[in-house]
Amino acid sequence: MKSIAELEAIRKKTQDEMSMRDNNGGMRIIIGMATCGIAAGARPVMRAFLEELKKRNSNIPVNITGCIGVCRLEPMVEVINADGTKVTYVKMTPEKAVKVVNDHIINNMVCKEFTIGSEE
Amino acid sequence: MKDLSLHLLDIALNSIEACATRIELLILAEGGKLTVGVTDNGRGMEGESLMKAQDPFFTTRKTRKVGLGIPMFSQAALSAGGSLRIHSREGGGTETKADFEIGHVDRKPLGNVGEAVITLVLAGRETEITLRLDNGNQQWLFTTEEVRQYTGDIPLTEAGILDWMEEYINEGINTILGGVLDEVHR
Repeated sequence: MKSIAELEAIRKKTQDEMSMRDNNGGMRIIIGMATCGIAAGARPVMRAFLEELKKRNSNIPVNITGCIGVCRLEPMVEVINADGTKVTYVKMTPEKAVKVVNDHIINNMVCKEFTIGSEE
Repeated sequence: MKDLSLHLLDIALNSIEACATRIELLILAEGGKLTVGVTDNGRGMEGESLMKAQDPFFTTRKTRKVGLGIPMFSQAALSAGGSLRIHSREGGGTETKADFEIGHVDRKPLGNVGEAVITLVLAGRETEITLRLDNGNQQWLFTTEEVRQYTGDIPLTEAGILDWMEEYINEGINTILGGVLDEVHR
């Protein structure tokens, strides 16, 4: 049973940890969650990102966006690097999400085979 | 969409698009009928927009020419002996409600409502989200406003808090709708 005490404990733990978190210089993740994305399975992909980022103690923000315009390639995830450049991942799955977190987010190695460039 | 929680998420994301600051999700199961709905205080629709909302070839987005969310939701309701209704007023918010016969063979399952709500929290960081559950005898309420009382200035998008909210909500679903909807277990 979830309790308020647990919530307060999470708050305390987060406050203590905040300074130790790593956000890789301003990197962000944007997940497409329009009707096309949801139908294609974007929610499990989002879930995989959240879980893996939590495991790696990463502070990278995960944002949700609407239709990116290429619905047949959903689920799509955009990673904005610290220098502002954008990598667009397409036909994402929870398994690919784990690889993207470990290779790209944590180690700055783009997963070229999952990008829109490889698909077109 | 394979379950109703995905439809709810889809419609509620429209509410965020409409600049809603408050969104209420409703799941009511009573007398053999399941009603799911999204009510928001966004900019609303009137006239032509409201009439065309259920038209798959109508959308306000610029990236494509189709808007399938509402028509697909309506289809899901019609397939399960129900229907979808939208009430809206320009500047006055929108209420979208769909009902389903609980025992209908083609009724989609409820799905992971907790996950739908946390996706909404991520999508609308400043939006207050409420989930109301009702089985005719008991009511249950979740509000992000109340969670904020305990989390202080830690954002709700913090991983640990998202997890807590998802589990808390799914526990509520099991308690109120377990035994009422076959796919939900107490």
